[in-house]
Amino acid sequence: MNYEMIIWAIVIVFILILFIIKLVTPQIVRREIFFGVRLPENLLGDLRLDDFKKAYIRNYLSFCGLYTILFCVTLAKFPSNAILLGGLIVFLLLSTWLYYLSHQRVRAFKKANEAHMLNRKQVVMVDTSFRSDKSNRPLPAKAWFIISLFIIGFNLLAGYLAYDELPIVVPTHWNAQGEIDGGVFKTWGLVFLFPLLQIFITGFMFLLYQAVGWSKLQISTLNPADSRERNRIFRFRWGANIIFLNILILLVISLLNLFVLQIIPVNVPVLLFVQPLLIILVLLDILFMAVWTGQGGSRLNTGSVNYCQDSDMALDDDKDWIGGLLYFNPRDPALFVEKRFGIAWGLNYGNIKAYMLIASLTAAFFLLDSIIELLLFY
Amino acid sequence: MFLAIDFQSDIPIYIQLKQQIIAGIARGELKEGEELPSVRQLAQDIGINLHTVNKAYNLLKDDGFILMDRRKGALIDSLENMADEDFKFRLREEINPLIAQAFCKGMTEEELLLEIGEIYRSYSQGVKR
Repeated sequence: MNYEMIIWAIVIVFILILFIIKLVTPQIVRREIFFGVRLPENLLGDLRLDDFKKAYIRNYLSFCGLYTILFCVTLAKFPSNAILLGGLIVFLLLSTWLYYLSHQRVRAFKKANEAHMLNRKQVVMVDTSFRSDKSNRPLPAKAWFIISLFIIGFNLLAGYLAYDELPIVVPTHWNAQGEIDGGVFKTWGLVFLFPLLQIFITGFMFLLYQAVGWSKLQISTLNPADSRERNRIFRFRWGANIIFLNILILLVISLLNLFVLQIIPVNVPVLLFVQPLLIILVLLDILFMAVWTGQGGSRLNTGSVNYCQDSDMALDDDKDWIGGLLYFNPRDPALFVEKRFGIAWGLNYGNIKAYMLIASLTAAFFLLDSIIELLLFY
Repeated sequence: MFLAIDFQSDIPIYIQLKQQIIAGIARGELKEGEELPSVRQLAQDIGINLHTVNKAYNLLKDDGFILMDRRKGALIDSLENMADEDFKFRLREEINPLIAQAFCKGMTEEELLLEIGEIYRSYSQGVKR
């Protein structure tokens, strides 16, 4: 039986979810940051903002919508990895361009209304107890990662127990028809292959979890206590979500490991679909988190709506954001900052550490690749 | 406790930090033994140089408002430890030019004392000595 069509159907679902994520982005961002532009509070209720939003959604549905349909039809007719990759890049460029048009308009709108921003005090708010508050923690306990360690330990144990029973040549790869098309000689390296992958992924997820904690605190001056609590829940949920996703990914890898170790008999549909389905699940999870919580907790219902009208303005930091998308501020030691137009966090590209981080993650990836080769063939 | 840092102000940021933390202690919002964020974390949250925060913390430490614990970092000291007889001389020095200004701007002694009393009570309500 040929399972290839089903895999491409999953790919098309993936593209559609991506389309929806970009569509809902204006709905999940902070109230005071509109298309990457920080607006003073007296402009927040302006009716023209709704027009900007409607115009964006109209443009997006017509341009990106049409493109997505064309893309999916092309993929269904000529399924190939090159078309998928190229098509995704064009999609990202197109949606970014549509965003940028709206960003430009909102900037012009802000500039036209800047008269009442002049001579106002601009402040940055921080809370000294945000991270030390023991009763209201901004992150779930690190101890939850012990579950992941247990899963890795279980995989090592399974490998140790299954080793003697393995044949001389162990099947490790299956094609889209479910036929074995790759294998390796039985070595102890094979036993460590999947646990090693799990260790790297857990390390990466732990870094993400830490980054949520380290990331720059952004408290709105309109209602600091409310904003602080939204921020806390926003971080807590994403921290918990990272732990959850880590466990989910490790369980899927464990399943593949058990197939390869021949502890459970290979079920071809499960083997073929589990990875693409995992990617879909992760995307759906991110979409759900974004809509449920919003950037900085903007979609939470805290019951508190009274904004202090005579408060100081938040510091206008638009100049530190390239196109409202990339944070570039060499004077700021912070490395992780909440995205203005997007989901979760991004980097401060004005900080040398951002490039060191990207370089070390790339290096770690290649290191993993060469260790796997070493394990399997020597 | 919330700190509001004004980037356009003539008052340097490290002085703003110092003054707001002392005011927080006086209002009772920062209590004895409470941890302040690490120098690095506070600098990242505000978006300023580490040295600026370090300078503020060092001033607070030298004046006896905070303690530097090797493990926990900066901690609020006790009010008993903050009490300092020599402060009266420094106060006299620092308040002198302000009183001179008040006199020139036409404030009477009573008005001045009323003003000072009001501010003092706004702090002493939060904390019991």
